[in-house]
Amino acid sequence: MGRTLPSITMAFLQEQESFGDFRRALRRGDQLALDDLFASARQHLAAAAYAAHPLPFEVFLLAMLLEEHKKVQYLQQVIASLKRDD
Amino acid sequence: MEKLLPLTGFNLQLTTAEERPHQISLFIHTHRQTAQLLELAAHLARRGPLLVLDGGNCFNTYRVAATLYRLAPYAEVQANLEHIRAARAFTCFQMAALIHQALPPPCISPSQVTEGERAISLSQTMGVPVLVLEFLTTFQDENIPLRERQRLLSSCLNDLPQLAQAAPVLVTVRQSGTQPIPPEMLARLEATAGEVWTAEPPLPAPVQPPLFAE
Repeated sequence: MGRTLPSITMAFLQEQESFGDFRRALRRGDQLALDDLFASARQHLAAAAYAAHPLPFEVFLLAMLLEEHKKVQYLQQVIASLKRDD
Repeated sequence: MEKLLPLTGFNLQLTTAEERPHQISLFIHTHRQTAQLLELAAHLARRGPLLVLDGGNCFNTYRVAATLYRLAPYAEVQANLEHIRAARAFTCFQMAALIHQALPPPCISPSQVTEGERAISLSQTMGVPVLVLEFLTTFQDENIPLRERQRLLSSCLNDLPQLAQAAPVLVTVRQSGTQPIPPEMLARLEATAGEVWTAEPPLPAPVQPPLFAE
């Protein structure tokens, strides 16, 4: 008996591949930023598999947002500590 | 996007369900049309309940869900997805059992029930369209003796017309270059089907003639 659904990794790779034309049209710097976004979503594939959402791309977007928010929180802490030092 | 004639034919059959008895629609296709069949499943799920019997492990629900998200308002997608009942067969024994289980129970056969009960059963139980995807794939398993496969195919071909009396039935068969379908099995299926649709091979890419002949 084989898989009845593509694994979350396969779904992720298919979604990433579907944006190939979009990526190709971007500037080099933007391409790297886009790759970074997908890399951040990739960190949460296990959670995405557990979510079993019918539209996995929504979970990937949320995973990207999560990583972005973690960066924002980190930068807020850095700014707060700099202000305290002053 | 290629135009898929069976979509039109099958939808027509659904809309004229009351006017004429159902017949089995057979669609012979290649791997290219599988995605369109999944889109058909999404369209049918928008209309109401749908039974999918998958013989080729090709029913990718992510694809169906993505199509539904495109077709339906966000709030309705979950309800539309719940219209779909999918069952997968990995052997011809399972396929025969699934088709037999899908038959309407004898207690609601039109001859045995009153007119009022018949109306209820037709609307709630018997009108559910059935998609049998890649029907013959499991019958190509050479680990099972040919005689046994033919017996099971006969059983399925007996059950399918009964199923078609209760609901519209679309059976699909995927042609594969590596493992061709046994012609005698396909011929028997074609003889059972009321209408047969075959996907046309893709057109060759246009070649622009050179401006200046060398």
